[in-house]
Amino acid sequence: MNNSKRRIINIYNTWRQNQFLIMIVSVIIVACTSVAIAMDIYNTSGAAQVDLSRPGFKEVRKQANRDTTPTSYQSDGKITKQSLDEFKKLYQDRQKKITQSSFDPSVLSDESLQIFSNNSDTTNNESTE
Amino acid sequence: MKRAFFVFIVITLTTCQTVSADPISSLTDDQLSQIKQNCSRVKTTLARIHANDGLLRVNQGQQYETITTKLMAPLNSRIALNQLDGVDMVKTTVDYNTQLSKFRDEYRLYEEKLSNLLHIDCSNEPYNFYESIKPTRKQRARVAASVTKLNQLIDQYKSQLDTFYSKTFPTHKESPSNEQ
Repeated sequence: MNNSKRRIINIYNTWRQNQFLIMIVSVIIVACTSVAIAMDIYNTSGAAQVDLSRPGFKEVRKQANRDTTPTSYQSDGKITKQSLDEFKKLYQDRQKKITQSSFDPSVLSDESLQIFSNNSDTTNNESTE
Repeated sequence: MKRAFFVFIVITLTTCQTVSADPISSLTDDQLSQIKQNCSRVKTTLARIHANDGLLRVNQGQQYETITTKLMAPLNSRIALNQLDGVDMVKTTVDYNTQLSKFRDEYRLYEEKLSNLLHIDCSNEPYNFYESIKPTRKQRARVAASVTKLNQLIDQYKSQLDTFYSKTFPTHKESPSNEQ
């Protein structure tokens, strides 16, 4: 009984002596867990896919359109000819901004990527030089 | 004799099956060396496609979101408040929102596949690299299909709006029934 009591007291004393170290380790564990959860949410929510601040998007970052035009249509009020005409105009403006044939799968075809092309990288480099 | 022939057939079939199951056999040595030779150029092209797709996703996504949240939903609400019949347009908006959510998911999967593809070292693993292009291509086709569907729904909403317009404001009658 005395032995176990002494052991508990020893453990307690060790904890008391290393309080600062334990706090630091705990903080690191909590931070790492939070970051892991946040990264998982970032990747699975689809936020990562629209994040152009990632490496590899530097070139295209500036081409991202900032939507500054006020396009919101009033959700209350009477339905009149003018109000529907106004809606039609806003709708058509938006429609024009949409690219009709995007994400064409043939872009990743063997021919487009020239995977089996006989002009190797070295040949291409030589020709550009 | 018959037994020998039977054994021969079994062995031949087993060998053929083994050969077809062997992953390396789908690409010839010449093709594998071509992939290795063109590796850096193909990777540069893929990186450019990745960046352009990211930009397209942001810009197109913005337009698609605006259409539903700032245009379709307010008009549907306004039509309902005026006690007019806009059921078809509401249905199209629901379909559009479902399709938009599908587009987000399909693009996320496509982006993950393309990113994984870019991480494969094609000069050391040409076969794995080539095999990873196929699912990426398929996923891109799925994204393209969901974009086509979204565009169709946008057109459908517009034609329903035209019908609603002509019903509410017939050419011989200037004011709508509820406008008093």
